[in-house]
Amino acid sequence: MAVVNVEEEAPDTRRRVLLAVGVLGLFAAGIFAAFAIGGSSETSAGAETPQGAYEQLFESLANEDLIGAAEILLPGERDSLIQPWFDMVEQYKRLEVLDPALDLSAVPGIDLEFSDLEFETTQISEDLMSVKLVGGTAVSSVDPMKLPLGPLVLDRLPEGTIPDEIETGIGSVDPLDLNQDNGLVAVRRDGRWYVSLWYTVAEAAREQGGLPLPDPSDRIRPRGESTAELAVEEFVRSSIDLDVRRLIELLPPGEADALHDYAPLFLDDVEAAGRETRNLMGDIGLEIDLVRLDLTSIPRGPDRIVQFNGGEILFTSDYVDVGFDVTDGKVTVDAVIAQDEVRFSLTIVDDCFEFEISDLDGEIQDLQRECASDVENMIEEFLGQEVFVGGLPEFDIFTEQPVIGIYTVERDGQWYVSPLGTLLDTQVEVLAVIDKDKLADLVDWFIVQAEENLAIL
Amino acid sequence: MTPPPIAGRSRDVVAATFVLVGTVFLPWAESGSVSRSGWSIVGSARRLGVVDSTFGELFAVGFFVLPIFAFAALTMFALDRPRLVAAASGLAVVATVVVAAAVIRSSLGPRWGLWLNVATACVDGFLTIRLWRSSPISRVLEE
Repeated sequence: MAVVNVEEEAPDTRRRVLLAVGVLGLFAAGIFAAFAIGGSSETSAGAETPQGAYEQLFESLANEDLIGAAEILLPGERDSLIQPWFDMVEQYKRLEVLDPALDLSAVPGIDLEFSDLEFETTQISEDLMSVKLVGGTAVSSVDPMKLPLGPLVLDRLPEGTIPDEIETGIGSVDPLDLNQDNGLVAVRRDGRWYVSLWYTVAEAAREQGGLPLPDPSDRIRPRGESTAELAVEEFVRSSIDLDVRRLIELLPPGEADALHDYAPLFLDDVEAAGRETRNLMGDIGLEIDLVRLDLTSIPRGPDRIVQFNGGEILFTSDYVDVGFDVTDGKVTVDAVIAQDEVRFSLTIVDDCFEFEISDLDGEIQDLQRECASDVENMIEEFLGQEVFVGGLPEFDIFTEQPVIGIYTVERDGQWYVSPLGTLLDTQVEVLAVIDKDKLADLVDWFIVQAEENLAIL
Repeated sequence: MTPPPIAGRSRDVVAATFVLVGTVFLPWAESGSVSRSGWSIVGSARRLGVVDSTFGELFAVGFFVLPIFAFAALTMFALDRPRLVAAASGLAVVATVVVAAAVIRSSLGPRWGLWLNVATACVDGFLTIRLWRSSPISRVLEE
C-alpha cells in the first residue's frame, strides 16, 4: 500500500499550478507580443476614418503631442519631414537661436485649443478623401515672453521689443459660408487613414486650376536606379534632356506619391514646353553634352549622400562653345567665340583663379591671376577701414567643411533622388558645422553696422 | 546565519520580474500634455521609423517580449531551474534598462513610471545576480 506524504503533496500541487499558469501565460504573452511586434490594427498609426485622422491631428496639436501628430501623418511624408525637422531644431538649440532647454514635447508660449470641430467628407478616389472643416472654434494664445528664443536672439533684442501681453485669438468656422476653403486631404494606406500635406497641396492646386481628377491608370510609376550614383547621374542627364517624366519617375515613392498621382494632369503641357524649348535650342544650334560625371556616395543612416567629384559638360552653339571641366579640384571654364577668333579661359585651383584671353592660335592677349587672400586684402584696404566700423568680421564661421550632396533613398531595392531630403539635409549639415561663438560675433558685427548706418541716416 | 534557500531567491526574482514588466505599462513620458507608457512609446518609435538599426530593433522586440520573459521565469521556477529563472529575468532587465535609457535621453519629458521602472530594474538586477551566483554550477550542468 502506498504511503501518501501529505507534507510533500502540497508543494507539488502548488508547483503544478504554477507550471500551468506559467505555460498558459507564455502562450498568452506570445500572442500579445506577436500582435505588438506585427502592429495590429489597434496599435498601428493612422486612423480608422478620414475625419478621424484630422480629429486626431487637431487633438494632438491642442495637446502639443508631437508623437500623436507624427503618427497621423502619411508615413512617406512623415519620414522625409519629421527627423530633419527634429535635427534642425537641435542645431538651432546648439547655436542658441532657440532656447537650449527647449523641450519639443512642451513648447512654451503657444497654446492651442479646438472645440466642436465638424468635418464634411467628399470622396476623391478610392484612397483619397477630401475632409472639409465646416464648423468649430479655435482659440490660440501666444505669450511672447515665454517663446523659446535662445540667448543669441534674446540678448541682442532691444528692451521692450518683445511685448509682455498675451495675445489671444479666436477663430470660428461658419458652416453657412460655402466659399470657405478649408479642404484637407486624407489618404488611405494599408486600410488606415492619414493626414497628407502634399496631397492637400496637390488637390488645392487641382481645384484651383479647374482640372479633372487624375486617372489612377495614368499614375507615373516610380522607377529608380540600381545605385545611388546612377540615380543622380540619370537625374542630371534627364534634367539636361528636359525629360520631366523621367525626373518624376526618379523621385522616391512615399515622399513623392502625390506628385506621381497628380503629375499626369500637367505632364503633357510640361512635355510640350520641353519640346518647344528643344526646338528653340535647335534653331540656334545649341547642344549640351554631358561628357563625364564623377560621383561617389557616402552613407547617411539607411540613405546615401551622392557627392560630385568631377565632370565635364560642353555647350556648343552657332556663336559660342563653352566647356566646364572639374578634375581633381581644378575647375576650368573655356569659352570660344569662333566668329571673333577669341578664347576666354578661367581656371580655379585652390583659392586662386586665373583668367586668360587668347586668340585661337593660343597667343595670350591678357592674363590675370588673383587669390582669395588678395581679394580679402583689397576689400579690407578699400572698404573695410572706411565703410565698416572695426573692419570686416570673420565671415568663415564654419568649424569644418559640411558634408553635403544629393540625398538619395532606397525603396524596394531601387535608388531614388530626394529633393526634399537634399534641401533639409543640406540645411542641417550646414547648421551643424557653424561655430556658435563665431556666429554670435558675426551677428554682433551686423548689429553694429546697422546701428552705425542708421545713425548716419 | 543561514542564507535563504535558492527557491526563496528564485521566487523573489520572479516576483520582481513581474513587477518590472508591470512598470512598462505605467506613464513613462509626456508628449505635450499626453502621458505615454513605455509600451506605447516603443510602439510609436517603431512605427515612426525612429528605430532604424538592427541593434535598436533587437531591443524593441526584446521589449515587446518582456511578458514572455516574466512567464518564462515563472515556468522555470515551477520546474526548479534557478539559473534559467535568472537568465529570463536578466534578459528582461537588460531590455528595459536599454529602452529606459533611450527614453531618458530623448526629448520627451520623463514621468514617474519611468523612474519606478529604473528602480525596479535595479532591484530585479540585484536579485537576479544574487540568484545566479548562489545557484551552484552543478545545477547548470543538471539543467
